Amino acid sequence: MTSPDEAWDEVRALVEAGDAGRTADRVERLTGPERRAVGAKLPGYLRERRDADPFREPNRKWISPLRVAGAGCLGGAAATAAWLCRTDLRLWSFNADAETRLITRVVAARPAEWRAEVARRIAARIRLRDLPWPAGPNWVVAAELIRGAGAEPPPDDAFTVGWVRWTHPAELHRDPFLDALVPRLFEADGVGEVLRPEPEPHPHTWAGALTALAAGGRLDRDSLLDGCLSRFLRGGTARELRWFVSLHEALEPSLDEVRARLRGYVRLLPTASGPVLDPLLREVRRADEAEPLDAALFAEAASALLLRPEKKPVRAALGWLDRTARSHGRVNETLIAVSLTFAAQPADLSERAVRVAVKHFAKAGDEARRAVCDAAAALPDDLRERVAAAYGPVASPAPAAPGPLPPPPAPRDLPPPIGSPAELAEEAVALLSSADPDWAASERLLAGLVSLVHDEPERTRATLERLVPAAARWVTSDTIHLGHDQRSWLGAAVRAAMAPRPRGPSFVLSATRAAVSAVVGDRLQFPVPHRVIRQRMREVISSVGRLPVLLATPTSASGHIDPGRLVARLELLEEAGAKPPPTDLEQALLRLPREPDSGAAARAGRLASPAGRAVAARLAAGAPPDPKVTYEVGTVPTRMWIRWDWRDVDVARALPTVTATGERGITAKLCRLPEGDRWERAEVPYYYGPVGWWPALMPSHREVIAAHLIPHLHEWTDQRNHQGAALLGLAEADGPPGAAMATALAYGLGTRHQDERAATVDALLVLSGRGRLPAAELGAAISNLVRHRLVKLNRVTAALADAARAGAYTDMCTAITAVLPDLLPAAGEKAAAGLPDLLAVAAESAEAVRARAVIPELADVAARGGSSRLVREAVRLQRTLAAP
Amino acid sequence: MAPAQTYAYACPSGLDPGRGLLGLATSGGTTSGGPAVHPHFFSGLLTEAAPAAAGLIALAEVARTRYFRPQQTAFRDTVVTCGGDRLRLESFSACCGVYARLDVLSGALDGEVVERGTTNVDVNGPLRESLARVGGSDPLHLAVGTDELAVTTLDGAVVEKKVPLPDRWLRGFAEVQVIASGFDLRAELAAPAAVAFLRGLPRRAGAPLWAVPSGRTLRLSSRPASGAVCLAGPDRLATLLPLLRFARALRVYGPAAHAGSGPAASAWELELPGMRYVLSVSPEVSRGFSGEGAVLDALATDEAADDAELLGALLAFEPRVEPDLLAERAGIGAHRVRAALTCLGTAGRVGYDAAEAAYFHRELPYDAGRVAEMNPRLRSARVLVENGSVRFTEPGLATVTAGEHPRQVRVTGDRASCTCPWWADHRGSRGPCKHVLAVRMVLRSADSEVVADDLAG
Repeated sequence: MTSPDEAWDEVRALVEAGDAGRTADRVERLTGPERRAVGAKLPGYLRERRDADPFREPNRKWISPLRVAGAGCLGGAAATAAWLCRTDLRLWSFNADAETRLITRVVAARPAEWRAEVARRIAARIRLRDLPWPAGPNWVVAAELIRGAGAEPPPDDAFTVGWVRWTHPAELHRDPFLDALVPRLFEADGVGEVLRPEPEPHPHTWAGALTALAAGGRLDRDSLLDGCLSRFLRGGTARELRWFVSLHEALEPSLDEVRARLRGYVRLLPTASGPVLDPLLREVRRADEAEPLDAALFAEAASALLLRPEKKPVRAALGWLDRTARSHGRVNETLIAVSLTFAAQPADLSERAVRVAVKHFAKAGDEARRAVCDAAAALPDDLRERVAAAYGPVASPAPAAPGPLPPPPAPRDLPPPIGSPAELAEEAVALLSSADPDWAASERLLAGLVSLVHDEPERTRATLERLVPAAARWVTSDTIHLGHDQRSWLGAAVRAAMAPRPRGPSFVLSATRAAVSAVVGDRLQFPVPHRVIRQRMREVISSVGRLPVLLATPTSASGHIDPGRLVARLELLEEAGAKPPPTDLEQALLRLPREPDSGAAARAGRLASPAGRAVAARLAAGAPPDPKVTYEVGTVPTRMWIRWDWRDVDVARALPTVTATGERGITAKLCRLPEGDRWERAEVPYYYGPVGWWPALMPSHREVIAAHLIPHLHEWTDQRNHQGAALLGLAEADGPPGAAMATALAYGLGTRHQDERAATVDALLVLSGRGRLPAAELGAAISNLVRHRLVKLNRVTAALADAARAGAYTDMCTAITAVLPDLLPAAGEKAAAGLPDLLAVAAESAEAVRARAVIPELADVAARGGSSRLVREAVRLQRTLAAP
Repeated sequence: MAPAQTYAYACPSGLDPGRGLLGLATSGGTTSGGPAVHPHFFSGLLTEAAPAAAGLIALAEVARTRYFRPQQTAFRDTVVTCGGDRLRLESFSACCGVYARLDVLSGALDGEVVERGTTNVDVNGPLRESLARVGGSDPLHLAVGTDELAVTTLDGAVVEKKVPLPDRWLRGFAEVQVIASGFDLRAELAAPAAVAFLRGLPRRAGAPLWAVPSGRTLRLSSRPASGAVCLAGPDRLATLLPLLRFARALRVYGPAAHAGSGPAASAWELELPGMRYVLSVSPEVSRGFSGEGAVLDALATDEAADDAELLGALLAFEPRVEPDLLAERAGIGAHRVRAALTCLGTAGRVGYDAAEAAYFHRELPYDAGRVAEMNPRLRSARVLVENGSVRFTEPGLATVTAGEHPRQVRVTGDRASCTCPWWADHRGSRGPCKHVLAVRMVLRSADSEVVADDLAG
């Protein structure tokens, strides 16, 4: 007999030795008072050990002994369950069996009801997202205690999920929880995610085992089928339901069983997710084949299927209705159902529906005929005519008035320059904490920094020093890494404006990647426009505190500078006796509007500096001749991993070139694409930088920037890099749009992500509204890219339809008629996917604006005859285009 | 751990197929006669059973979903309001970004209104299943909280559910009403166009999109234009899709937009036979309605709070609150009624129906004290003012020092801006920050001496 304190010392020694087995032995031998004493010490001890640990965690080796000791010594069921569920006592292994045996051993002496209560409380604390870990070991303990106590399993969802996870299906027949938990399979959340679908059920898989047990009479077949149905009715994602589909399939419901549940199956047809729908539809059809559904149920099933958003069930339903209409004597019901699709489904499905309607005309009653005629008003012209040919006159709806052309956007002015140090600090804080500062706000901040540091140096520095560190402490460090993102550029400029440290700030330029690129090729080089932007940023940073004003800050949202403002800035510079930095001056010249401005030119002519003279000359003459921009789709090699080796493979790419003569500085850099004068490889720099800044580099020559964008647009087809916003920027800029702009737009229309595509449509509409959309070039670019499989036609089609319906009918008609000659298939060739839809968009546009054109290839297809959708859409378009 | 709410029902809600009775069990709520434990609102016929059942399922779906960073969440029961001629059922998503309401109008109801009021109704798994079994054109008997229900269960067991109810969830549920009061009808689509548009929405989108009216339908655009409605996270409209088979029209509501507007909230209303299903979605997927702070300026005055108390006593679960009538009965001006209604809205005491452009009376069945509790930003602002943290350095320029970092607030006329991270992130699009609020309070306190003293010292 030991004293309670000695007993605690012994248990503690065993815990600290990390020996769970001997702890259990000792705990088992404890007397009542000793047990209570140890139980009372445990929580304090755990807290003490945890607080002593630098990571506030108990030693992992002690966790298992602590759990065993707690289970054996704590008094109440609630306290015991809480102890085992403590987060700091979670087991760090999945294998809990050994520990579970110890725990059941130390609690064996307790009453069965106490053990069951502990288990129920543990089960109630297990959260679904903690399975299988960290709550898994506790599930095992709870299950073992319930089993030992012979109690009912707890009702918690997580307990059922644990059961599914840790029970082998082959053992199911002798599982004590089988009867209680099988009905819970269909109710508990989370079961469907744990079980995998079973294409081939097997006695060692769940669906197979349950089916076998039902076949043997051990489980009730009806309740399994009912369970599946109610799980389907309760709804869920395909992932949650797929296993139940497998079980339903494995049970192979008989015809009588299906009939008994038919109403439930039919009610699922409108909303069931795809994998659930297929087998249900099959069962409903099977029941219908054997004995026709009653009229109300049939109408419900048919309308549910025909209004589904997916094409597959609609097609299946049309086939089913068509086949059974006469044999089941329900032509009228069928026609009424089929007419639902006319307004609700896209043209290709309506077309099938029309075929069914026309086929059964002869047997139709008056009511059905009226329903079809009424519904047919919503059909496109050609389908409506086919219905009318059989059913008699169909009211045609008032033609949709073409929407108004979008108004050309007014040139937006940028917000006025930053006026005070207080505002400057505010902007600096906002932009330095923004993930992706846009170019206009950044330019405004830089201009404000330069001019305010010059005008009010003391106040500006003090204000920035006081307010900026709270938002961006990194800016105060002595060295600033001038990287390749906007934030580091702005940060460096703000740092330059703040009081210099004793040694002054030093800017570390990130190593040019030449050394790296020598090893891995050009993919790590930055694109030219980005390098030009960064070059100017470096210059701006060194101008802070030296110059009174920046020259190249744009004044309009298109990226242009008002000539008068530029001259005023030059005057300010001269007054201060400062020489403008070369890149800034050159950038300012690139940002002047294309048109000459004699007034501003005269004012600039009064300036003495060479910069003033250059600006005066540019203002007097207007924009210099546009650089020559061309593009072609050619083949270039790219490196691909084929059969365990890197090989060069020729691939098609849109290859733009820009050439200009007599340029210098950044203009020369921008007007030379590709850099090596020849596209030698398909790889382009891996680039996800601020592409939205590019259009404002040359706002009067958008074609040049469009050309620089093209190789990247190809890379970004499946990515989001705000390329839509860049295209919108180009659309709002100036300069004759040509093939490069058209190709860039075509790539934008073919982007995978709908939001980028929507931005491209916006760009299209801006250009169209200004009358500057190169529609024919766009059509040529689309057909070129589609033919070389660089862009997917169906994506482009949807986007063109959007643009047309927004009012750009004329331009879309021009663009699509330019696409067609190359894409329409010769006889016997397969048409590109989405081509009939493109024809439909063209027809809609042509009808809206009464466009006329002659396209021999189109006439060929239209004359080909046959019932394919391509031919019929071609006929419709041809009829409109060739109308007198 | 968030404070929890316990729903207590006399029995579970359920659908008795034999009797064709849909019984919705009620928990504690408020009626026109005062608080009630299990109020009884309506007994009668639901003439449009199928769309109503589908609408209830959609509400349940919203209530159990977290649209931002999806994970399993506690299910918060639907709120039902009986306003005389109609039943309104409301749900609010766990991410606080989606609000759904099913208005069952008099056209779909045929029966007796026993009492007016608001409460929670029990929505459980078996009920969802039996709602999915409702179909065809048979009418259904509907009972919202009645003694008949207890009979249908075998043991008459009391149902208790305990769910966490975070403050921001409660606040968002209340504030979405006030935000909706700034909405106007922007587009109306006939059923086929609505189906085509909603089915064609992208599943995911990086940035908020804008739906621009274009011909008879809407077009998605990347940037705002006049008449456009913002749509962030198009997948949040998913609960509209199963209802499309009943849809007669789609109406879209939103605040006035123009080129350059920031993301905004919007409401999408499906017209169903005899009822309307409305989804309001927040301006961004990651933004809940609770943080919008659209009303903070209105709340910052004491007058509005007093008026709200006055008006609150005059409300009697009207399906439409008529501001003119209220103004007359309370004897205060129309603009004060508007401010007071805003206050009542943030306290969860009125809802807003964009279709009728009118508030309706309902008392959210949650701890009234917690709903009415002051907005945390407003609370922090008061603390800043009390601690004298606001110092004016020159006219229109103040420094607010809280913690170690000074923030600068710049006031020019109606506009105010700050240098705190909240301002940097949202630029006022989510209401003023606590620093701006504090500066405005000091300015408003007419105690301009403080300002003058600061400037002099």
